[in-house]
Amino acid sequence: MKDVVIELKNFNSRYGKQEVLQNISLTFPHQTITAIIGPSGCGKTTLLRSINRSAELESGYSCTGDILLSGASMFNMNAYSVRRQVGMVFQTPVALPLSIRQNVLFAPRYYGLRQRALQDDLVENCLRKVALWEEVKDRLHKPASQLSGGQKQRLAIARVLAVKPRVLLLDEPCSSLDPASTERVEETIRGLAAELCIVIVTHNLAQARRLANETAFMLNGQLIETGPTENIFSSPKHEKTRDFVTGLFG
Amino acid sequence: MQVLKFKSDKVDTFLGSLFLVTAWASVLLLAALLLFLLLESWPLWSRVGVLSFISGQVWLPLSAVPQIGIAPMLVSTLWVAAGALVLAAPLGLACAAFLAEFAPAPLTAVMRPVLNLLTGIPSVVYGFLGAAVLVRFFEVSFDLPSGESLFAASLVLAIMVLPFIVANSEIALRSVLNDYRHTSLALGVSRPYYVMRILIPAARKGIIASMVLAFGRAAGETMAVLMMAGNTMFMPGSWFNQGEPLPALIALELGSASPGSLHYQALFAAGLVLLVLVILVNILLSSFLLPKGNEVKPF
Repeated sequence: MKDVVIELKNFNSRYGKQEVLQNISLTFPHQTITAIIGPSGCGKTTLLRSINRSAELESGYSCTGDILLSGASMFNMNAYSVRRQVGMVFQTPVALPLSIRQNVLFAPRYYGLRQRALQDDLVENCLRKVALWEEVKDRLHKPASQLSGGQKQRLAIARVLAVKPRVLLLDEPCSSLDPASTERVEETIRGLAAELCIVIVTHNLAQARRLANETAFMLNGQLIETGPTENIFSSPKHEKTRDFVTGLFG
Repeated sequence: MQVLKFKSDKVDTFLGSLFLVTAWASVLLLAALLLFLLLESWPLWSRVGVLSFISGQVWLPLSAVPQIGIAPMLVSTLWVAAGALVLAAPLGLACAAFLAEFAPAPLTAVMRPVLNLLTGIPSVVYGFLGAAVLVRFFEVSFDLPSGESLFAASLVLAIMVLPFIVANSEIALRSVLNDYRHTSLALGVSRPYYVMRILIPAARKGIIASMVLAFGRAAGETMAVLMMAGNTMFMPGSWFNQGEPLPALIALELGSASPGSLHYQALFAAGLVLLVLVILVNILLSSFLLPKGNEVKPF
C-alpha cells in the first residue's frame, strides 16, 4: 500500500444554503492517478477546489469535516502553503498575461527564487516534464498567449510543478482540447504519476479508464463508489455506478 | 400559415443611419469647436505668428505696442495639471485596486457612491475650500506672504480628478479575466502579489486612459485654479511659485476684452492652444498604448 497523501474525513461543504458535498471520505495515495467521475454539477470541481483550499476564497463557502495532507489537518496549516503543495490546473487553459518563462516563474518568484541560474534550471526542468521544452525553448520570452490550447494547458501544469507540489489536481484538463493535444497532456500526466499524487476530474469515461489507477464515482454531492479503475468499469458494485459507466445517464 | 415574418429592411436602415448620424455629430461638434476658435483668433495668428505666440514671455495685449505671448501661462497649466496627476495617480490607482480586489462588498457599496458624489461637487466649492483652508495653512505654517501657488492648485485639482481616476481604473481592473485570479491564487501566491504582477499590468490600458482623462480635466479646470494659483504672469520657476494657467487667464480677461480686438483674439487663441494641448496628450498617450508586435498583451 502506497502512502496516503490526501485523506478526506466526513467532509461536507456548502455555498450559502446549498449543500454541495455530503459526508465524503476518500483517500488519494502517492504515485497514483485517481479519476473522479460523475455527472455535471455533482460537486467534482468543488471537491478539488476544497482540497486546494481555494474554494474558501469564494464568499458563502463553508465546510465541516477534515482533510489531511500527509497525515496533518490542512486547516491547521497556512492556506498559502497548502495551495502551493496541492497544485491545481483548471478546465480552461489559462496563460497568465506574461511571457512563457515568467509564467513558469510566477509562483517561484513569490517564494523568493531570485538567482538567474536557478531560474533557468527550473524553467527548463518544468517545461521538460510537460514535454513543452523542445516546442518553446527558442521563444521563452514571447507572450504565453501565443501558445495553442494544448500547449497552454501543459504550461499550466508546468507552472504548478514549478513550486514542487506533492499533489496535482486536474479539473477536466482536456475538455477544451482536440484529440492530439489531449493525448500529449495525458502522456504528461502519466509521466508525472511517478513522483506525484494526481487527482483528475473528467467527463470522459474513456480517459478515466486509460489514465487512472483508482476511480471514484460521485453523484449529487455524495461519493457512491470507489476502487481500482478496472473494478469500477467492469464489475461495479453499485447500481448507479453501473448505469453511469455504461452510459445510461450522464 | 406563416407566423414568422421578415422584418422590414427599412427599419434596419433607418436605425443604422441614426446611429451613424449621432456618432458623426459628436465628431463634428469637436471639429466645429476647433473651427470656431480658429476663426475667432485668426487675425492674431497671421499678425503674431504661432511660435512667438506660444514662446512669448510677455502678455501686454493692451499696451501701445502690444506684446502677446502665453509661455508663462502654458507652463503654469502644465505644472498644475501634471502636478495634479502626479499626486492623484498613485492614490487613485491604489484606491481602485482596493475597491476592485480587496474591499468587502458592503464597504464597496458605501465607497463607490461617495466617490461618485465627489465628481458632482461644483469646482467653485473646491476652490473656496482650498482658498480658505489650504492657502491659509501654507501662509501660517510656512510663514509665507501668500499661500497661493501652483502646488496648492495641484493639490485641489488632485482631489477633483481623483474620483475619475478611481472610477475608470476600477472598471479597467474589473474587466480583467477572473481566470487569472483563480489560477494565481491556486498557486499559493498572495492577493497583493497577484494584483501587482498580473492585475494592474493586464489593466494598464484602461488605467492609463483614466489618467489621460484626468489630465484633460485638470488642464481645463478653471475656477479652483483661478482661486488657488495666485495669478501672476511670470514664468513659474518651480511647482511652488505662483502662476496663471490658461483657463484662469481666459476667465479673468474675456469679460473685459472688447469683441474683435487683438486682446479678444489673443484669448481665443489661448483657448485654442489649450484645446490642442489636451487633444495632443490624448493622441500621444493612446498611440503609446496600441499593442506592438512583440509586446506581452493583456488580453
